Amino acid sequence: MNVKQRRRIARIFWLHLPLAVFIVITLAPFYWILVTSLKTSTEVFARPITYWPKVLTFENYRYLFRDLGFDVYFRNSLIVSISATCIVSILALIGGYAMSRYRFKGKGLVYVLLLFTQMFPAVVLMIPLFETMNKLRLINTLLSLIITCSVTNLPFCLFMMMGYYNSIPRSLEEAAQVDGCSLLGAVFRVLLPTMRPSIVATGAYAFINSWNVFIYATAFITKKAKYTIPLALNIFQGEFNTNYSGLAAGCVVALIPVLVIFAFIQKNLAGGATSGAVKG
Amino acid sequence: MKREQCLQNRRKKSKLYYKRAAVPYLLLLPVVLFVALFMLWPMVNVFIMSLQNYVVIKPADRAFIGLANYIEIFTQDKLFYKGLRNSAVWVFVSVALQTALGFWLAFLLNKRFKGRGLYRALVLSPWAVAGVMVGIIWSLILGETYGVLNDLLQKIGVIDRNISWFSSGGRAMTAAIMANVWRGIPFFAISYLSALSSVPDDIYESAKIDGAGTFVTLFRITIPMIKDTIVLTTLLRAIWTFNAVDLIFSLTNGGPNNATMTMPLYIMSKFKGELDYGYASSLAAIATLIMMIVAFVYIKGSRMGKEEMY
Repeated sequence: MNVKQRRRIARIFWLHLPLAVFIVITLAPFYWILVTSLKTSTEVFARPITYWPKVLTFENYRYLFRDLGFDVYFRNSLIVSISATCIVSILALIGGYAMSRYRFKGKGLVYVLLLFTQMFPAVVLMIPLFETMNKLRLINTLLSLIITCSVTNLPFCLFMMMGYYNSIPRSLEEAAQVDGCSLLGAVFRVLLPTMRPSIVATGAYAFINSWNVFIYATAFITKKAKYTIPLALNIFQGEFNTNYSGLAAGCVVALIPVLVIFAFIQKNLAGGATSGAVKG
Repeated sequence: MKREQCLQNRRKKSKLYYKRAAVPYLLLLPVVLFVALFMLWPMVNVFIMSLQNYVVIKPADRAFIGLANYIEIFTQDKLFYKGLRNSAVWVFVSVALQTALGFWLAFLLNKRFKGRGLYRALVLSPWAVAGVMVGIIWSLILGETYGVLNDLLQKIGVIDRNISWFSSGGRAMTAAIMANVWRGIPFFAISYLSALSSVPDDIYESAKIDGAGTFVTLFRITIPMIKDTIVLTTLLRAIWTFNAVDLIFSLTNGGPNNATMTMPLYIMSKFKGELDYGYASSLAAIATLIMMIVAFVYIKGSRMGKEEMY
């Protein structure tokens, strides 16, 4: 066996084999949920277990949307996620600029304060926020979730933004200003266009988290008409009992938007998540 | 006349100066206000409520009772200690496995191979799945008779009878951790990957010339170089794992016999189940304090940011 061959075998053993194991373990649950959602509810319990449905059916999806009102929950989730994403993106964009480009008194305090909020458990905040929302008469409204999703995602998104700003040299804006742009003009014409992928990544992060929000939803929402998808899924998990194929279909519906978004932005997510905080 | 003008000029200048100095504050004002109103103030409220006897269905009994809730927790509440122990296992095992596997995956993804872009998008996708859904998906995989894992394990001959995953405490915890690790690996891989790609290639080159093998390079160069990232990622993830309830809530709901009842789940059951806001707040306050102490010790102990590599 010559060196080249041995190297190729080593590559298969150390690279391709582990890669294959990782991808199989990652994708198998997705595959299983998809297959289950296409089975009839009796086939789910049939023995031996089938790895591809004998009778392919879309009845489960029809049932979700026609009988269980998933169209409403889907729309509710969309409203919450899109609104929260817009709020978070704009505020993080503005705040991140201040944190990255200015030196001012109290900057350290703001930094620590925002980092500190990352430790607050959702179950802990849920209790006083429920009181607050109750006083504001926002229980059973989507606005309560929009506010909560915005505020809980804001600190981390601001850190992400700060990291992105830090990675762009200040001389870029300065050059534009020398060329006769106002500061605002420099920001809008030069800085923001170069930051577009980062802004998208931050927004997507906020969107995915808001789409998945559950704890606050269980606390604030009790009316069926205001359910979001995770809440609806959890409640039907209890009610369904044996209709596992319907439950699986619900999962697939809930997964599609986030997985599509994630696939597009995962490249830009890489740096932002921790580099902003590490370098701070 | 001239002097007056000069003074006026200076006043103007100082006005401009203050205008300039106010810019960062104005930019941050909405963020700080928002966070203060809906995160910091509620947090203060938790501590206030923790000193009260406050059960929602008995509003007449609402009153300050000092540390009575805390005393009851520490002296009489067995479930509190059980919850703490469960949380410790849940966090430690999850994060340790995620760190190791996430690092491995990042290490692999950092190499060049065909189809890497697509592979990356696919292998990191569990990152985006909600905790509730992870719970549901894995309950469908682990179910005793209809679950696919039992079937697979039987086919390859590891077991000869179906395992009932959710009837024993140890197995239920194993199942929950397995699901959590599945979901958490991508987060680690993403942050390690960006750290790994920031390590300059020439360091590896010179190590190779000096005759360092793969493992020496890994432990003497790669890991020390990205230490800050490792510390921060594990800490953030430990905090989030400690706080996460949705996965366990939908997978085991604390059972069987409270074997997977973690601290936050216990808080939630007091809040939603018994509507005992005062007691739940005390538990929450204790959980928050414990977490902060652990985080502080961890950051100090790991000497984050102290390493001078360059």
